[in-house]
Amino acid sequence: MAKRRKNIYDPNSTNTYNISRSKIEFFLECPQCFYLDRRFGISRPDMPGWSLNSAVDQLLKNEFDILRKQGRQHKLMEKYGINAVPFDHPHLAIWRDDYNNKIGASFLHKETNLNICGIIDDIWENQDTKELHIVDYKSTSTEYPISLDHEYKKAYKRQMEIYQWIFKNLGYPVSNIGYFFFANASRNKPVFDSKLEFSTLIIPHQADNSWVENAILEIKKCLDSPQIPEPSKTCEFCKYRKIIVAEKIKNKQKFQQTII
Amino acid sequence: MSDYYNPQRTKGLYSENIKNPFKLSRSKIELFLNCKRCFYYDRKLGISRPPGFPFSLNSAVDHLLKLEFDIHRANNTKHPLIEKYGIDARPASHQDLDKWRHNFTGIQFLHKATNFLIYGAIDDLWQNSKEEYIVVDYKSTSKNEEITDINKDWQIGYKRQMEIYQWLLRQNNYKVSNTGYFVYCNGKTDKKAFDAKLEFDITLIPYTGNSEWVENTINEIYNCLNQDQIPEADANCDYCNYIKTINSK
Repeated sequence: MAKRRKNIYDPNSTNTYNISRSKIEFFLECPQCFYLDRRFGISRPDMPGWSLNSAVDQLLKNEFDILRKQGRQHKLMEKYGINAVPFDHPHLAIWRDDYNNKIGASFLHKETNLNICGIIDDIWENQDTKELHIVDYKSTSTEYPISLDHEYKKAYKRQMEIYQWIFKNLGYPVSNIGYFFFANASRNKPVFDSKLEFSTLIIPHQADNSWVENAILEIKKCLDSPQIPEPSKTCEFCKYRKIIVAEKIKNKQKFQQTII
Repeated sequence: MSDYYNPQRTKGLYSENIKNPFKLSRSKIELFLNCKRCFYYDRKLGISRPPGFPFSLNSAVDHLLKLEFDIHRANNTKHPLIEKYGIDARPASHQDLDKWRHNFTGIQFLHKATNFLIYGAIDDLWQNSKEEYIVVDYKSTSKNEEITDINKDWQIGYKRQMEIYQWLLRQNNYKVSNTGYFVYCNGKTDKKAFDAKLEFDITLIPYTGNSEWVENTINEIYNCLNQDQIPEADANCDYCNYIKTINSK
């Protein structure tokens, strides 16, 4: 892992700077890690990719695209009483990042000159109100009932809230209700039979995106600061680094003493 | 996430004075081969790399494959995949198989010279007509190309994994074939719709293992743990480079 040279924030530049929804999440998780990443190009080590989850996302896109063309409701929407159809729009390919440009939907926040962007999974158009519901696909395999209650699912909610904020600012009539389309792979079948079979469910989220504006201002302040910010108290990477540095110093001292 | 991460553990660490065998898993041996410094932090000083999220879909595939091969094991029949590839093998029955498959026990061997209890959990065990055991590992991913080999640089860990399992079985005095198999499942994304399922192409990839390195590596690990100085970082270690770059700031 070498230091990144691209996409580094320069406080003296007048260029617009992209901040993705995952970087907003990163900032909320730990300002110090965020700063090291954006100002110095020092990223946390890569984790292996979620290729099976991405495969499910891709297949769900294919499935909803058929209905999009036909202007039809998905049977699961019907089951949950959601009177909506997949939203058809010429920019959908950009918003979903079908061409892998790594930007997605974006809105330029003028006050900070930060271009807030996010790659969405889907948008459904409510047939009663003509409002847009932001939709995110999630896949997992768990025996526990699926809900949005766990602590780490707060990030799911924030993700949706940022998307809603972007589309509201782009001038679209966005509903405060977003939908998570969950696919849960069953472990309760007799054999694999070359496939994972999923139960699917929709969980609505009544979103509150009032925090987003303030987070963007905080991010701007952080990026412009000449000083590396304090880590968040819960940051695993900062704890990890700190302890290693302490052990290294201890070790060095010990060896200097033995040599003397 | 932080609730689960203890940045510095105090239990299960190596110390020169311990009398009980020191448990060393095959994944920690892999860590040692990737970066001696990270290994030393982890096993001697109790500092682990921060964990990622679990791969629940991959683990579901593993679980279901086990059930599927278990049916053939119980009926003493060949799995269609084994038939398709014309391999001399059938799922093997062994009274300890459940233990060998379990993460926290696995196949174990006490390496007397170092007092290390080496262990690793296998996915599956087959047997050929010469009554040799065959180590089998399940892998799942989703990529656009057909998966026919495990020769990418990063897959060396897969090869070593197989070799450690073969070595462990041999140390337990079992007859083991040098040829092991990867049951490689590749999730298909070219279908028109999800339809509440993810379908896989499955390829069976043979690998001829050579476990000669294992013994020597265990001795190196012993020397590493018994030294007081933190060892050098591997030049390609993402974690050590990450820390080094930050400390230069």
